[in-house]
Amino acid sequence: MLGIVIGSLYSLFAISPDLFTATGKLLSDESFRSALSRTLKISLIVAAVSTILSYPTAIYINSIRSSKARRVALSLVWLPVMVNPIVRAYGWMIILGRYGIINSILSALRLGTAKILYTDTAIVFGLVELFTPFLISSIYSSLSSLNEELLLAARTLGAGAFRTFLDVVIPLTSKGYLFGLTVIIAGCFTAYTTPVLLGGAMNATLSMLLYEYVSIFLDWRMAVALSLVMLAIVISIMIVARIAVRGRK
Amino acid sequence: MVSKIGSLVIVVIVIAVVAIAGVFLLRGGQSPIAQPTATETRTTTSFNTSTSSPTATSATTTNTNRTSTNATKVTLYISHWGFSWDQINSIVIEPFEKKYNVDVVLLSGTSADRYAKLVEGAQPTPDIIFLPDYYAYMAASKGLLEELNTSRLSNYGKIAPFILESYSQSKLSKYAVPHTIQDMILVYRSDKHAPVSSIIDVWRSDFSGFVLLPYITATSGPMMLTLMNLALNGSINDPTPALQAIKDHKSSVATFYTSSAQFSSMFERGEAEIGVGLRYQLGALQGLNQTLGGKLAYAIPKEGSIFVLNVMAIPKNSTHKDLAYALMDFWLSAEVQQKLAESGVDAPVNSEVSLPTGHFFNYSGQIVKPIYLLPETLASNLANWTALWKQYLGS
Repeated sequence: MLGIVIGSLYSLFAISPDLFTATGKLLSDESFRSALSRTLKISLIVAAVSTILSYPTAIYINSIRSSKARRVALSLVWLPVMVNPIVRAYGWMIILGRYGIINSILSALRLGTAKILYTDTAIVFGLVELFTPFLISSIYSSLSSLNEELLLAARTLGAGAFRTFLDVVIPLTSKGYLFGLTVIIAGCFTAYTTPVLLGGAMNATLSMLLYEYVSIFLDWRMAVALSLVMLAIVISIMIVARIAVRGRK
Repeated sequence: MVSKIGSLVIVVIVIAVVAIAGVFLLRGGQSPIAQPTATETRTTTSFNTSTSSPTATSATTTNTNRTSTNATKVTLYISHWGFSWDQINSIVIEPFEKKYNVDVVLLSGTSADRYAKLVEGAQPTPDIIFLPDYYAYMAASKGLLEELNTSRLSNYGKIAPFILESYSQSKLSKYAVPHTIQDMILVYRSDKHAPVSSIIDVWRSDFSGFVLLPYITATSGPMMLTLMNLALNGSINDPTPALQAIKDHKSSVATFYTSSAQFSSMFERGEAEIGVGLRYQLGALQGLNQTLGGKLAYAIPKEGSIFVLNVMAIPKNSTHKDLAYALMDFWLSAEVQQKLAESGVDAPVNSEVSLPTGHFFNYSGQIVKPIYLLPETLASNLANWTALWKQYLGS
């Protein structure tokens, strides 16, 4: 694996001798900084919302006694991922659009309308739906292998449900959580269809900028530089998250 | 200790082998770019002007060398987007194959993908390539296209005079032949708004919040910017008046679209009531227009009909140039251009084509002030315009 990574990186630099120049130009580009800021913000919000949604869902699924019912529940969790990304995005357009379900409800309650589609909020909706199943599944996997007697012991020793969750469940499911978080962060950085359809061209993320370099400007140097910067950022975030989770343990 | 040293040696050897393999693959003569097994699945809309609504069909195009029973049968590779391929196949390809006893194989992909493959020398080399004029110009600038002898094309002189006259101003005219025109129009809901006549009408207060404009990197983006600039007495090379106008009215814009699917979707969902688009996008709106009782109207901006062209060219390394010329001439024929237009595939360039009145590809009498956005202008300005766009409007 190490050989493949180093070999690939060497090859990248071999075909692009001025990659360092391109990287420098990229980092000083305002549109890159804007896209990076937006992508980071969206990734963190998606991670936070997914965390809030995933733990209760995973705990609930794990508490289901019937294994068949648990399998059905997990299948339902994965349903959004099985849908074509364009179909999924168009579904959100119907919900979030000017005449969509949300605005129809707001209008009915005489609360006016909200511009949700073609904003960062719409992208968050789409990406939360797409990536939360991964986090639910990975937390569930950790929960399912958790020794229930530890939870019982905590309760016996006087810990309430919340304390048990904080001091026992979270640390012991940290590996599963970290895996799911990796998928979310990497996915948010690389997702293209959902941001472009729900956010629009004026709310560019890094993947949309990458598309521009590849397909519009045909600037392979900048595309390679951007790819490497994206990879470095994702790896850095994961290292920080891993340190934070280990510290919690 | 010995086992640790042995492990380290193995790791170093693996790294060295992978690195050398990587350099070899990416610097070698043969391009590592995917061989012609690319498949494209596109949803195409078949149009019959007598039916009440368009029907969508899925066209999966695959690059498979067809089995030929005749060992001497030539295989002609055509690089094309692949959309509407069902119609193109029945109107153009099958008759051509029969007439010239050849097998035509499609190499499909986006313009950027196919241009990149042409630059990298991906095999097989297409014998004829279809590209937007901007990409073809860049290919010609790199010396990748054959300089054409248009006297070999009997239908070349039948191309609409205004197209030939405008196109001849570009150096690309020596290397490629236009096969369809894409001109800019204003699409609007005539049931909700008074008629429009100028591109500046998008800023009318009645359209506020329902304006649909192309993003700068869409095909129609630079065209819109140029036309709006001309309307504001700016110049082709300085788009700042148009950018300032868009910035001042940004709250009027529902969104900036990047694809034709988004253009039609915005109208279908009622998010847009006026849009600056290209003529071919009317095809996808025929269903909505039926639903609205024909209330979806379009206007040619009084500032002029700014247009770009899609062209056919012969790569320098083509191995069947005579056949490529024959296919080009066939594609330009009135019969083929007529059928392609009637099927809703492409607007014709052959002036002998006669379409029914009201057909969205019938621009006869409409393009009175043609403005050709030269590929040279686009190639030299696009990066700067995009940077200015982001500076004025953010991203």
